Amino acid sequence: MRNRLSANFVTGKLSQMDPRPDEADLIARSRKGELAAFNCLVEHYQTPIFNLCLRMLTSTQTAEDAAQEAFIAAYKHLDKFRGGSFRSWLFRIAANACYDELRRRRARPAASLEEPTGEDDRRLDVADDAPSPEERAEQSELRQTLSRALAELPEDQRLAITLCDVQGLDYAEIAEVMECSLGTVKSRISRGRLRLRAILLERAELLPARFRPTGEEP
Amino acid sequence: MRLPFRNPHPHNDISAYADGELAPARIPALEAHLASCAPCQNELEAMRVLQSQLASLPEIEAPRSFALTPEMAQRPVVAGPAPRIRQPSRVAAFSSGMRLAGAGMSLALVIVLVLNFSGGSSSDSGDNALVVTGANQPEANAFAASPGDASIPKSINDEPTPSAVSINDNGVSSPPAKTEDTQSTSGGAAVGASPAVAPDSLGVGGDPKVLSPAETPAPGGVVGAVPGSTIAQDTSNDGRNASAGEATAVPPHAANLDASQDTDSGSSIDTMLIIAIALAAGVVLAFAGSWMLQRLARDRS
Repeated sequence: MRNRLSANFVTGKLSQMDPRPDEADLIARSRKGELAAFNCLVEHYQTPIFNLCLRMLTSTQTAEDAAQEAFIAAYKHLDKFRGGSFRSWLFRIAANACYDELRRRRARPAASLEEPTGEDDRRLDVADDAPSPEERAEQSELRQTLSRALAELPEDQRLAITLCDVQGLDYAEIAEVMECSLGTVKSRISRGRLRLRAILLERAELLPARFRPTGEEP
Repeated sequence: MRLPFRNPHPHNDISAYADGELAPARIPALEAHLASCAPCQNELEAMRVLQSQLASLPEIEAPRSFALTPEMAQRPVVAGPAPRIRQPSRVAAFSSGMRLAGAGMSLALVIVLVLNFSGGSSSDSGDNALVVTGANQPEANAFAASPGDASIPKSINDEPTPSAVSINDNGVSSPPAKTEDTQSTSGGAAVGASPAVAPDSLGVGGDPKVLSPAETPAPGGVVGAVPGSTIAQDTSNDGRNASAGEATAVPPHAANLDASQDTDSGSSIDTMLIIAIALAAGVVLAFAGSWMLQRLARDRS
């Protein structure tokens, strides 16, 4: 899971388009206004960015919008990228786009999309190559419950957990994305997990037996 | 070895440990705790299960390409809800300032406690006595100078009034003073204000009735007095005064003072004075901190 992205960078789609894609070179060319170079970067990062937005916003449509806004903002503000991890910088812009969207939702609570819809759940819980129908059903149940529980976490904790456990970033990268200290990252992840576990314990009956959380809250 | 956990169950450390992100220095303590705490073992196990479940959530392919069209690329930055690059907000800056303030206040509180504690024991009571003489009885200053401790007369020469010396001797009681010194120095304006205002406010402090009103009008001055005078003394005494040296130099002559000058009222006045300094330090540090952070934020943008 960890470093999945950097591994993909060598073996993924981008390398098929360009045998030795050099991120720094693509960024430099994008800064000069070469849209094709920037779109190579978009192509490479769009899936993780979209997934981050989807976990944060739980709605496919708004996640698409937020991801698109994030890439536009990144292009416009490329001059503000001062080296370091481009992935973290992109994630930060995407996270901010999500925070903006969540803020807009709070401003109009009637139209709140905080609760994931059934359609979105299906979207979030697409089963991959599970071998048997039973296992597939169990996995799907687990993912659905997990996705709903994740969506109930406070935004900062949800972002930290998504970046850590779903996207596989390390604490230093998460601190960069969230613009906070390592201590804050550590505490957000820990509190997020404890809360997630508490939510799952509450809904243990919804989970297949072998996935039920066990043990008392310490 | 004593476990460094204030909280009976170190949740944050368990979670970081599950990620392989716990600082190496904390690992032995956590492992020792885990060995003897069943709930924490369960929690670690649960964290690992949760991690693998979250990692198994499928990555969903982007439903469409987010490649920018020339129209999108030319869209003015101001148009639409373009996500901003987040800057620390005023609230965040103020809360950081408050954290600095908290640090300042607890530092001063430690000094108060140390002074109160040392006031009770016979060996260290000299510190307390010296403060009393400085704040209450200006003429005692000449007395303080006489016993032959080289560091004291020298610093008196550097200071406008004897009262500044007394505060300094408290403040100097070592590492804490140094910390406060650097904090206020980074705050900028506070240090500059110190020498002029310090004598006044401290002189007033000698009278218990006037003390409390006097602490409010000039907090900057009072705070500045501590680091300001410390700097003066450090630079003038060629390192003789530096930290440990100072600590050993004070007691002998202070013991003399203790015999002749100790008064009952002095200790409470002294405590009040330092609490006032602590509060003022907190306020000034809060504002200095938030001002600095806001300026940093502005510079970055």
